[in-house]
Amino acid sequence: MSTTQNKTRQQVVILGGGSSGWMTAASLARFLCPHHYCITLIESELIGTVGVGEATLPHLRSFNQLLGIDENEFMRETGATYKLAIQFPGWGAKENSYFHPFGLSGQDINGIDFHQYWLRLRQHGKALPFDQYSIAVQAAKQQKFSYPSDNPQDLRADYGYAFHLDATLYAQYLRKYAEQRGVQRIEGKVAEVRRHEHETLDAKRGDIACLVMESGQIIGGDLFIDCSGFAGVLIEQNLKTGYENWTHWLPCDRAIAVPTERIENPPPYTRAAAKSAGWQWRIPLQHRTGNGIVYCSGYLNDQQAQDILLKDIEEPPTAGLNKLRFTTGKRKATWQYNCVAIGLSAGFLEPLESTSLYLVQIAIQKLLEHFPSRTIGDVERDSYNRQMDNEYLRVRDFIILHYKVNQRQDSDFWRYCQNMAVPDSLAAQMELFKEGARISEYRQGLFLPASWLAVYLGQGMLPKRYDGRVDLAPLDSLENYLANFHQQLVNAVNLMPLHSNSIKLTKQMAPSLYPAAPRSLYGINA
Amino acid sequence: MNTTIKHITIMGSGIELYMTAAILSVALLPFGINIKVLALPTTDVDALVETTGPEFSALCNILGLVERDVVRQCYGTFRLGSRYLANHHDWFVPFAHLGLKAQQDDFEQGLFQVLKPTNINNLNPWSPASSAAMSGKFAIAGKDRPDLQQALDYGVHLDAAQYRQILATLCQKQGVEWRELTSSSLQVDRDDLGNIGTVVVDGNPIKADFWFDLRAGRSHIAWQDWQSYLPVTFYAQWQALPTQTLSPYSQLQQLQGGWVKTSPLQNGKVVQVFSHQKQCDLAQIEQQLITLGLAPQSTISWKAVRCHVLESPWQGNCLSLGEAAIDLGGLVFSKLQCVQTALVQFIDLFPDLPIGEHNRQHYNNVWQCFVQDALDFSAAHYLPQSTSYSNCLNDLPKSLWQRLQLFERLGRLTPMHSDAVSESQWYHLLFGLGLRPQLNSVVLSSMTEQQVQSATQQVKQSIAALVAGMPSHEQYLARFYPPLNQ
Repeated sequence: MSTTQNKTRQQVVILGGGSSGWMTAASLARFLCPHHYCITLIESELIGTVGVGEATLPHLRSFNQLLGIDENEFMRETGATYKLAIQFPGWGAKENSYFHPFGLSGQDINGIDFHQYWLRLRQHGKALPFDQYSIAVQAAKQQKFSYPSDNPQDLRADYGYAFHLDATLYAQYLRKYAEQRGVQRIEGKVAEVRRHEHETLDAKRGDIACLVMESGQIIGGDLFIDCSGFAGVLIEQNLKTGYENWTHWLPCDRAIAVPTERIENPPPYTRAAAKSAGWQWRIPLQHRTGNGIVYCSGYLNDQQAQDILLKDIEEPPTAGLNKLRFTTGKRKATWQYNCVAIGLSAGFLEPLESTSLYLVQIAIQKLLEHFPSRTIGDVERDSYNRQMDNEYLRVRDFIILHYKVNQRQDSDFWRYCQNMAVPDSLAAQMELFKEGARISEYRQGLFLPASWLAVYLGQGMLPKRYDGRVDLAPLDSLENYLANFHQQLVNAVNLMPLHSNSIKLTKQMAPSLYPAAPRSLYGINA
Repeated sequence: MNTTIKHITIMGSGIELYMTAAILSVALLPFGINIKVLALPTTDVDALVETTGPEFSALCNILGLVERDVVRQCYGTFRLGSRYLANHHDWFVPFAHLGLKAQQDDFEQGLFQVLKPTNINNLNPWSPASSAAMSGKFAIAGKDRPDLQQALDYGVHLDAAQYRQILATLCQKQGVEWRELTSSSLQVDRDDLGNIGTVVVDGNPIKADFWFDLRAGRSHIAWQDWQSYLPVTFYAQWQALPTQTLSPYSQLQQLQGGWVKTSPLQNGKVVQVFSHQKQCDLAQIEQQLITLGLAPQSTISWKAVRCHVLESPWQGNCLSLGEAAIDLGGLVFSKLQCVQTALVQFIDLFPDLPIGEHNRQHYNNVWQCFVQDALDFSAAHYLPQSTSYSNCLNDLPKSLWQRLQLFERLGRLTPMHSDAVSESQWYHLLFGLGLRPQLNSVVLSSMTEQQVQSATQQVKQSIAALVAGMPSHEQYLARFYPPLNQ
């Protein structure tokens, strides 16, 4: 085998650029010693990227922080805006709307969860919508943004923030970062994947040995990372790993994206508006607005979907339509032999809750924790797969929840979703809530009770009863307490700058003048 | 139509009964819920000492007790963790984290890398709590130093009889209705779903909306027997004279066929022995205790033990607690700790009537998470001596086997299911057991061996400087926590 690479170093080969490829390359370049590891990324300019993940979760801040990336520089380079929440119009009743904030709604009273008190007041018709007790939602509604407070006693500590970013610019930014740290980029397409036919000192039978490029160049490797997107060139086309199809729970299978002109004062939230057989996103960046529709082809044809999308966009388009087809699900194992799939090659979950880049990020983090030697052991592979399975399942259940608890009666699609069976894990979680407004708090994985409450109560899924202990508080006092609390939030938000002004500041600010990234989705108090 | 639980009755005995009544009364009386206790005569020997973990401070807050008063009244001493004399080594398992800061990326893995070529068998110099404990030092950091508070997280040793008295006084103050019974047999009317209708006491039926059952010694078909993982067969305890120095830790010493645990109190020390010998071989244990100078002056009174757990302790309108729900042998987790955990979980899910099936199921699931973590950690104390456990799957709980394997390979831990055990406790225990990770962390691969060594050396020096400035545990106790009863 002719290869120019230095065999004394462990060879890591990443197939595919885009967000996941370059996030992986940048992370490995940040941590892997160049004397011991050689990182190569193969991508072809002829193959487009999907550009997933324009809307993100607060975890991305930790990722950037880990790479030592300055947040203000990152915002300038990727045209990013701040994000405090996701707005969900039409997901409960058609005419209703709610926010899922990156923050808490209300605060516990006498050791009992806030939502139990809220449920009581609501029963008496004296409560505002649940999301109105979140400072992140108040700020989102007023198009304001400021950094959260680092004082746990301050109301302004009860939220976190993420970004809307240009995924293509982010990939370019990370490419620069990675190449400066020694990642070698090879342009071209893979023509053939060769595997070890016999066990060697460093490899097991069936492991990928090398990739043969269309140019004839041979790229040998010890560990291959498949970031080739939906195609899954290594993990599926070659290793035949198999795919768990989840379309019976998440029936949307197509998307159309279109960019439009920028918004002058961009809202600090993503919009995910329910449509007759899917939903439409709106993601405001500094230089443009991302739009798109995710839909189920069984209920809506491509032309109908395109018509809905173009009718409902609020700014003029700046480019043509980009059409995608996908099958929601996950590879049966995202680490097979000596190949780890990251990003769309590992699985696809629609970006309803902006989880795409999170799943890339967590896969990278787990890979670093389980990083093998030349000879890969079952221990690290099995542990990695167990932990990643859990991550995907948690996100899957939460996304299915949105469809399952819709209250719409205006289309067969939504009626199907209301009546479909859901995974046992989700069914148990929902039954627990319906019975007494309780939520099972996961130890591992994304989305804690604050998120579940946002969707349950935002979409009008009310429990049969609330905690009877809250009946002890006099109703008037409770009403006053909640009204005062809400007013305090509004007052605090009134003092915040407009989102557009906060973005402008990032162009002038010195590095690091922003809070450290908390590990939680909901701010430092969660 | 749902209604609120109004009447709760607790059946049982011992300090666990007092703790249950105290926690429930503080949490539920403000909501107008009446708490009644049926105190059975104690058939078991009460523990002489209560060893707590860091949950003690939070518990005092919940109960409205002044921590300092409790420690003083109970001849208390502090506890930064446990010292182990086992596997031919002397090592420490603290509650608090390794290094100077919590959640430092891959500090532990860097340390394992540095120690790999050495014959150092403990992580003590790199843990503020271990270093302090092994130097006999102790102090509670001020509120302005949350970092130090975390680094020196502590529990306490308390005289169990005094502690019980404090809880009894609290129950009385709270207005708990207390009824001492002369007979330990109760006629409990229970349906197939586990619901208790009435309990007949002296011919009088007692009704309640919800029951807590702490009665020990009931045979129960739903018990999972853990003898193969936790082979404790006999237990004994006695109070010995105080030692010259009051260590800020419990000491666990491995015997041939068991463990001996010593816990210092300001009025003496308590010795507890956990044997996994047959009755006819207990003399071997007693001989070892004589050699160690730990034997009591009178004959040892052994109590038979069989570790078990009730898979679903909440059935119908009754929650089983204490020995009625779990027995972990007592070496690592006391009965009281298990009761406290169960009650905190229960109050979080406090039901209305009729009791929801999903709520109950959820409680039992959460309980199983605690049980799994606690079982794994306890069972790790009974592993055969080895430097590798890769081939022990059939002899271990699967989750423990996965944990051992991952640590042996990468020096990492599988995710926890509960707060039963801290990550730091696992790292110290596995390292102390002699396991050494095969692979280094790639996150540190861009640092040279010297750089990693130097970084860990700096942490070690900073910790040594920190500990040097701390008072001795005895000085600290004498100054701030002298016994109230002296």
